[in-house]
Amino acid sequence: MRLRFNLVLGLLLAAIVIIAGVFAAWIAPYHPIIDADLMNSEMPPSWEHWMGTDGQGRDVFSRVLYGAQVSLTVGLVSQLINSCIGTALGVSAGYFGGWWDDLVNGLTNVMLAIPSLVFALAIMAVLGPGLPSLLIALGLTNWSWTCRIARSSTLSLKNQGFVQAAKVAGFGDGNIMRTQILPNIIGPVLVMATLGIGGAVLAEAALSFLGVGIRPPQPSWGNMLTDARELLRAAPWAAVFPGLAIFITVLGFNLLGDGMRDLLDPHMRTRRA
Amino acid sequence: MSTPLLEIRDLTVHFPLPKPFLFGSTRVLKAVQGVSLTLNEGECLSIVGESGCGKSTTALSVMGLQEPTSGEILFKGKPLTGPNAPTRKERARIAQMVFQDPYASLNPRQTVGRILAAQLALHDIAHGSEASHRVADMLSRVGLTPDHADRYPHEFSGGQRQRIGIARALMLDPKILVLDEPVSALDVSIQAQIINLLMDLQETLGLSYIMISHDLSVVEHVSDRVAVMYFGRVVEEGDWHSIFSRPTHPYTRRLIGSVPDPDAILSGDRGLPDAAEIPRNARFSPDVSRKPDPHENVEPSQLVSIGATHRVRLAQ
Repeated sequence: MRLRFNLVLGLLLAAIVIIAGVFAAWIAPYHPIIDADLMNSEMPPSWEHWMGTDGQGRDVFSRVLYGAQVSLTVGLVSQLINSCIGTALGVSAGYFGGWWDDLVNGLTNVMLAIPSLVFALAIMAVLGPGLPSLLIALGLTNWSWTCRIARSSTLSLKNQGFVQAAKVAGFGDGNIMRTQILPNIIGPVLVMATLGIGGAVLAEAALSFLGVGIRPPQPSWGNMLTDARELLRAAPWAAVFPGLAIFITVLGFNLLGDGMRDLLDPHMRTRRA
Repeated sequence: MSTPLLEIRDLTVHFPLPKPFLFGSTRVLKAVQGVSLTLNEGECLSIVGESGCGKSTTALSVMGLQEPTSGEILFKGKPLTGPNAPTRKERARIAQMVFQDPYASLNPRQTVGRILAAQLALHDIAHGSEASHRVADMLSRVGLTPDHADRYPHEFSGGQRQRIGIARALMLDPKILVLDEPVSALDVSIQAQIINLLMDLQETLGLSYIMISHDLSVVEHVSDRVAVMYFGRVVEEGDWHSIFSRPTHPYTRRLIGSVPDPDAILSGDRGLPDAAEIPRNARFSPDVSRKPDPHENVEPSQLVSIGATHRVRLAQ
């Protein structure tokens, strides 16, 4: 069954990445920064170094594990910020309409017109590199699609009988948005958020690759790729494994989002007999 | 004469239409034009007419879901519209609504119990087990069973969903129930069940109904009085007997003629033009092949009494 396959594989991949990140300190055989063995640099994968060593003799496996921490934090936190901004703006714009809707629409269009990576780059340039500025930069630049989806879903819901019935029953607008509209649009929003986690992981990698994200020597998949770029021929494993980690993370969260959407479909949910 | 339960005075609702590209003036859709109706306690007033005639807009105005352009709506002499209108919460105790589409009128993410009980908590009528007790009570009253409260709306058929919709509307013990095409989305066999349920409830709870319908065969069974609307105006109004035995306005006659009759001879009929295109003083033409002629320009007359409770508009 397609539903189970998506969900299980997505959950599995996401779980691997999450476990890797959370337990990096216990799993990693070497320290990602201090254990630099210049005598053993650019070593291919072996029993001692499962993913080989990089140009400075650091264990790639350990660095990939610690890199997962950065990627997950950036992915989850920035998407949480994006989803909150997008949903709040989209639902209120769709529900109230009028000048507020025009304003939010205009803002969304501006955000969509600016490439989000370029915008994030600009914010990073102002805030300086580092994890907190990464979270802010990626959290403020990728809410426009969520906003659009939340708005259009709200528009189609707000004239339906059950929303009107809630108004007629005397519920306030805030209550209606929270109890009537939000539960019915959470599916698409969640899917957007989960897909966005993959996007944010990629964006973090790109920003770190460009040198404005996570500062070396702290490992992130992006700056590992930067380091590995120069020795792509001599030590391809130093680039392949962080790349593979990015691939697995993005694929995992995308499948998870897909599976979650199917699961959240109310028609799939029946009363437990 | 005592104050009627609900009085609609000269209600007018206009919708601005989107402007044509670049040039051209803003057009206005006059959905409801000067409708005056009264609803007495314990009676069922039906508003009939084809889609676009303003009957639903009138109902939405009564419910406070549509702000009237002008005119007023009074409940027991107190205004429901304008600056002294009651809040949404206060209004909820006065009038409730049953919606047309039973599939869109229940939140798919809430159990039936929650759909029914939420308003009790909001209005501080009942909480916790007292609320579930009332929910169970109401469910049996509308012909469902108390254990249905734990289920989600998609587990019910159209007719059962409409029963839930009726139960929801009755939870706050309102005085007026506005029924917006309550059975038009249902099978004919289910229609009769719901109509019977509504009639029973009216009798036992002493409710007053405003029923919106395009189907006179439904209206015939429940109404005490009938108002026929045509392009935003009431063209004929009267008690059940006068409307069905002596339909006077040509439009009413055509409506009654449109009730399916197994012996009828089929004839070609054409639809009516877009409501926004109809000139203000359009007249109804008994000749269905003729469009309303704007050049005749006859001012619509007032409703004229032609019986004790029977009124008809002459010019339109």
